[in-house]
Amino acid sequence: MQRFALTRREALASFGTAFGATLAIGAFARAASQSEPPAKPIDVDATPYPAFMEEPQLSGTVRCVGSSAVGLVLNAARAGFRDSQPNIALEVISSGSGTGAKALASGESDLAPMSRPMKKAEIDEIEAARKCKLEFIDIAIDAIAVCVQKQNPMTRITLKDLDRVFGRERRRGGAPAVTWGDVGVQDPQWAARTITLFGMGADSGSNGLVQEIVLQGGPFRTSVNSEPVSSSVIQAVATDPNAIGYCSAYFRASRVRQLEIEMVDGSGFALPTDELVRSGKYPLARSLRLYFVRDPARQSAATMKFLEFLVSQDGQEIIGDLGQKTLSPAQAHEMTKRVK
Amino acid sequence: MEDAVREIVRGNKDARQRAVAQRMLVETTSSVYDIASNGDPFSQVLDLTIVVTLTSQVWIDGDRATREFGPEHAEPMITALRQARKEVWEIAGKVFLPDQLSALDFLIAGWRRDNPKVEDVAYVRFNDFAESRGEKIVEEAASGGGLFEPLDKAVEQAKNYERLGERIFFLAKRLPTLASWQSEAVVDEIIAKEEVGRALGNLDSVSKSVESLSKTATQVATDVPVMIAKEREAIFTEIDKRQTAVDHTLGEVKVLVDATAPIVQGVNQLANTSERLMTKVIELKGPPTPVDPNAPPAKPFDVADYQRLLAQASLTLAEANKLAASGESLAGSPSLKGLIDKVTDATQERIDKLEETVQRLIWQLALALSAVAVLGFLLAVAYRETGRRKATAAVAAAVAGNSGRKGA
Repeated sequence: MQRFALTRREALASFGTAFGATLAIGAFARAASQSEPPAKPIDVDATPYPAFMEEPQLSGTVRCVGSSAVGLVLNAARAGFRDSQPNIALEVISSGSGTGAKALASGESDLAPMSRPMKKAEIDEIEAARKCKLEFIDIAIDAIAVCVQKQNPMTRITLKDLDRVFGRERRRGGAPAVTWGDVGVQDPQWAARTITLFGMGADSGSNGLVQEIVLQGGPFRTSVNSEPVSSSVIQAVATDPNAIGYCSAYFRASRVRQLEIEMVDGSGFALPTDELVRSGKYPLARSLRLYFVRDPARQSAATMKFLEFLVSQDGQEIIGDLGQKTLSPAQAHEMTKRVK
Repeated sequence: MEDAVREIVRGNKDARQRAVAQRMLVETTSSVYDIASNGDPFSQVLDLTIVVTLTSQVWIDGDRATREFGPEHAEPMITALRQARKEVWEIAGKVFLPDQLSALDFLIAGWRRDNPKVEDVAYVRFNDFAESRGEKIVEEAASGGGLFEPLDKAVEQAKNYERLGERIFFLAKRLPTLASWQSEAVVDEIIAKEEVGRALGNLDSVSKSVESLSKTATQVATDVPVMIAKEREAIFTEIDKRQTAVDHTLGEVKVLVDATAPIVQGVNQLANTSERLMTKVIELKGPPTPVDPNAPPAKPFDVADYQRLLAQASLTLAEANKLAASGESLAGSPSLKGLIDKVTDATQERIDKLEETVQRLIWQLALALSAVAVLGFLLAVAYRETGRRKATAAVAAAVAGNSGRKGA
């Protein structure tokens, strides 16, 4: 067996080399650490949505009465939730946001799906009746887009002009806008053309949102052609060059273009991107919300489990499949904390 | 839809467009009949809504109608599909709740997003959505519950439509029409096939060629005589121009020849005389230098050569004239153009040859005249030498006579 032995001189030389190298590496590392920019804050949007914990297995019935827009989401989530919690039944009655508050106050429902924030009077009524604090979580965001045909020269519009176009009372002020010239289109080929109006049915969530945000609660013009679903609005606009319509931002067509809308903070105009919709800067968007109370007398554990499912990875996927804007992961985590 | 397709097909020369329209009609109608034959009225409305919506989305929203038929032919299709879609959603609105309508709308849009390139959507059904988005929703609906759980009211409405349709009668009545459309679609598809199109294209091109030939023939009958006249005129002008020049040259040559004829005659006589003289000289001088017996005899000068050249020149001109004259007989020939070219080329060649011949003739004449001059000079020298020798001989004889007389 060969023996490796170092002379004293060699050992000293090796030690010196190693020591020097260590010093050099240390100096380089210090220099590198000094030249690095400060660490960026963690991008919470890049983190995954909360995972849904199937355990413990619960039983009971979760009753939901309220907004049809939110009811759609709840119904869509039913099958997925049942896979995880087969002993929890879900009852969904879509009868409008107004009825949701009353049903929750009377104890006829466990959840009040709302497509608008609850009013103070409603909150007071519920808390007084149930003797519990009213809470809520957001499960999705409903965004509305305004669209025209692609060859239309218009690219952006203010909320006031939208009110002049669609509103009968024009609560934001200004004269009625009947032609494209009335909303600022300069092109002589378009200016004199009469605008054709397309919108959603009176019962739809989209209609309610436009009425609330754009018309400030005022009525629509009678000349608005009502379509049953969003894709019908898109197609109506696609086949009528003079048309303008509003519908869910999820729907697109190659012949149709979305208009930029004046942002809430007045900082410019924007399309309904995920970021701007979630941040609340895009005006034609609303949170789809579920109000609830922690009533020990009712099976609140099952209700909480269902809420937890809605903001989990599984629940958000189902919501996304429905074309709704999902919460950001950070928002979903925040909502999960509320139901724990 | 049938009216729209008829409108697209009517007077449309594009077999492919006709085939696409017919095929679309056949597939959509077959699909609707297939849905109508479904026993579950709720599923009927659901699937019918899906098929009509997807079809309209492909052809209108996806712009396929404009792509396939162009803006001028697409409009009937767009209008018909838009109307069909409105009607089907009206029916769906009586069967489904607003939430269900909205969910269905999102499911259809989701399927479209997942399958953006699929254009044959006539046989997409609600159950197919399970493979795309909304798996849970479809699964739930299939088990008779969930979002698409049929309500009593909805089922009743759907049954009303079912009764109105009277499915069996509906199918039986329309099958011949469907078969007819199918056959029309097949015919147009065959015509639209590339190979068939190529064959038809060849036939077309043959027809076009025949048509073109007939037009050409008519045009030839009208234009060719004019063209011939022009060409002839051009040829004759050119020949006249050349002939004038040649005639002038020939005239000059003739004058020259005429003028030199007595000289030549004189030269001939002189040559004869000089020959005789030379014979005398040689006789006087002594025996001639031995000549190579194998050497060919030198050609004696003969002005007839030049006359033959002139005759050849005249013949060339005559041939050119003859060719030009023969151009007149070409008027009715079908391959006239080629012949005219040949005539032109031949005439030009002849004229060139003629010019060359005349030039050579003039050159040879000049050489001959030079030769005559040189010969005259030599004869003069010889004559003087002969005279000198004769004089010397006479002087010698006289001197010899005087000496004899002195000696006697």
